[in-house]
Amino acid sequence: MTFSDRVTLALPSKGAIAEPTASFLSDCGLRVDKPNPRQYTGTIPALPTVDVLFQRVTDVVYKVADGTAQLGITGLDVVREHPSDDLIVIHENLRYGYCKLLVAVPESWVDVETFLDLTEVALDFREQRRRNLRIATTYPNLTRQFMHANGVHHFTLVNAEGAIEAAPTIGYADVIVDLMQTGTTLRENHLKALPDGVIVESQACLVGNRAALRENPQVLQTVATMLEYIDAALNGREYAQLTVNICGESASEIAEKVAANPVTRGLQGPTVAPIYGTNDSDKSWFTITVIIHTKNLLTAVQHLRQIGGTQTTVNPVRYVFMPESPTFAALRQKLGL
Amino acid sequence: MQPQSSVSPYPSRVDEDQTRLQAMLQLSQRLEAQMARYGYDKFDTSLIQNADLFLTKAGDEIITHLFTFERGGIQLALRPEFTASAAHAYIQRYPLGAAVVRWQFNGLVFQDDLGHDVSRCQRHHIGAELIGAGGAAADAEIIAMAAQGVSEIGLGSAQVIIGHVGLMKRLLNRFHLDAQTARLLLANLTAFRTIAKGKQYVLDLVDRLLMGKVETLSDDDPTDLVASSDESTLLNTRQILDVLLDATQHGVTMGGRTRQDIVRRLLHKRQRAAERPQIIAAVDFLDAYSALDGDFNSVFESITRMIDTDDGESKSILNELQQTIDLLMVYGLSANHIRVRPALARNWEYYTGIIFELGTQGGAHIGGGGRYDELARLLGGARDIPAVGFVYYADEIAALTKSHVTAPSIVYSLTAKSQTVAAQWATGLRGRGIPVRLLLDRADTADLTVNADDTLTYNGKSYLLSQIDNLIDALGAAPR
Repeated sequence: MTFSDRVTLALPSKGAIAEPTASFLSDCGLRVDKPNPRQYTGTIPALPTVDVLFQRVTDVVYKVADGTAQLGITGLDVVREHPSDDLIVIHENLRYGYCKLLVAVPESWVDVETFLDLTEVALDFREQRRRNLRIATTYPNLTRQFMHANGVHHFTLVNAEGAIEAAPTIGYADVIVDLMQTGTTLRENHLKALPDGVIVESQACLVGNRAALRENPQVLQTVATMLEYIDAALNGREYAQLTVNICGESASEIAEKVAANPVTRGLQGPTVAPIYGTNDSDKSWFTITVIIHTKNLLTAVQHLRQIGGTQTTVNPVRYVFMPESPTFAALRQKLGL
Repeated sequence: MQPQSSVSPYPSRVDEDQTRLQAMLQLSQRLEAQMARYGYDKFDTSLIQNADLFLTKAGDEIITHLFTFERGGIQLALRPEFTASAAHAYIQRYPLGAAVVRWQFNGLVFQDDLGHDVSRCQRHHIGAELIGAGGAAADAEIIAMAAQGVSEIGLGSAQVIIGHVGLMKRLLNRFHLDAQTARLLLANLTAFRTIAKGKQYVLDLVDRLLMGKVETLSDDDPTDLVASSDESTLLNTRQILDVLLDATQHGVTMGGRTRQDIVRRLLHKRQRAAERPQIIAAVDFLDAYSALDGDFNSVFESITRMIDTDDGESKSILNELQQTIDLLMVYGLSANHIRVRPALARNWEYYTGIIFELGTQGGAHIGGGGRYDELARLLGGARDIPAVGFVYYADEIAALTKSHVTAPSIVYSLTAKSQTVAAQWATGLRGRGIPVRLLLDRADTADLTVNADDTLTYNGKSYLLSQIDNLIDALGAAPR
């Protein structure tokens, strides 16, 4: 079988994750060039075999599932709403585009604090008003599954496009199921989220066409390259390069003191280099460089101070390449390769 | 290289197990004949129904797996069972509920979300409904017919386990629980007898689901509001809520509820906090009640001790249960094969009275049923209609009866050079009751071969088409 040597990557053309996707890829070293803002195609100079196709987030899922595009970036909520055996989630936490798909009820419903309260209200609607609870949403599949799984069986889904938050005020729905990022829109529309009504915790994800990944080496090679950059860039956010000057007897003595604390041992161990021109005593000065986890930064600085460290500088790390891309290794396993 | 199918590989059920198919056919015929002897007429429903029919009074387990889809804004479902359809058909035909009908059904039912094992999503049910008749006689008729069917298909005497939803709900009534709490306890009946769960699990569930949020509301003695939940208090509380909602502008969006609705529920939630001692007592009762299991004499004695002396209705239910079991003896069921487990639970929530499960001597669970007097009204009927029914899980039974399927009738393979002559011989033989399969391209394996002169040779002797009756005699005489 022959395959095209071009790979199509579908990216969101508009919506909340369109701009963040371009920024994310750029941060990963995969800058997207779009020659004309009105065109729906683009390129990634770092991936010369890739054609970029800009689509709505929902269409990204469809295009990847039907093989028009072999790879795509979209929201996890959209993928869960439109499940397909032909589509595989390659990387499900690209760490941007965070939002929650959740159930929200009018703030005036002070008696409704949990989802169990809503199950009772749904029964009240049925028994006292002889009608179903009306739910406005653009996520009918996830909503239906969640309602049934949590004991609300009598409901009518109201299809709505946009301005879903206004549905209870306008009066064509009682509650809504919608995406929430900060909660401001809900509050402005006099709605409140139910704490146990979260259906999906979503963020941007990388998806692929299962058959194309299995059968087309060019697609697998492209995704391997992308994941090398993505994993390394996401890892890079977790680490910082710390440089500190320490006075001591010898490089090995300094190295031992630094490595004695697991936090300052870094990824592999400290690099110790002599500083010249400061030998005004029996001891020498050395510069120590370690890569540490950013969450341990202050602990590391404290330890280095205790062993005589001074003039500590910290620089961000752009990439941390591990022995292999863990996401690509997991993908190969999922595909049975 | 294997040709690639353009159809995506969603697993579909291809039943190639001839023995299983034959077992299913034979048990269908035998069970249908058995139910016909009791006067049950054939009944069928559309595979596709309005989903509301099954959502009305199904258990959570059933609803979670309902096979649903939408057309024209209406939520439809593939039928997961026959009973709700039968009750609905009954109220359409007999809106006054004046007739007694005996219906038997036999067909496929569906469940979704059971993974990719399609054999589990598509099941075969055979059973019966007796609608319009109540009392011990109707209950006994259905249970006896169901149990005798098990013997009829060669699985020996059925093991019948009997419970009673109506009695259990009646005994639970003394604790004055609200509907939501009662539903939660009844939905978790099996937890009492599950080693990993038990009574504490149910109590934790009650505290977590029903009590946790209520406590935050109980800034004073909740019984004050309970005791005074009359109209004047309701009015005052509503006024407070009015002020609250107006001050915060939260009342802008009401989502189809009134302030009165909200006040009523708030009061109800507070009342629940006061009910905790009753809930604990109810949990203790259900823990003891669900431990009852044994022959009916011993269990009846235990239940009798649990009934308050002035509870005439529970006594009456127990007496009727006794009558049902006496009648089952008359129908020929042995006491050894009847167990009473009064807290027996089945997945469907529409049951109102006796419920039962059918098992084999080997312990296989092959069917069950019960009384559902309220279902007709809940589906839109003018009133409750007494009704009782049961189902055989035909797939489980076919798997058990595969080993003693009787051989299907012999089918002779026939071939001839001329298709016309082959068709003439086949038609002649089939017309005389001999099954014939025409071989279209594999002449070497034929049982019967037509010669070039149009005669057919069998066991060394040739027959003309006009001598076909002689051939029939020869076929009948020859062992095969």
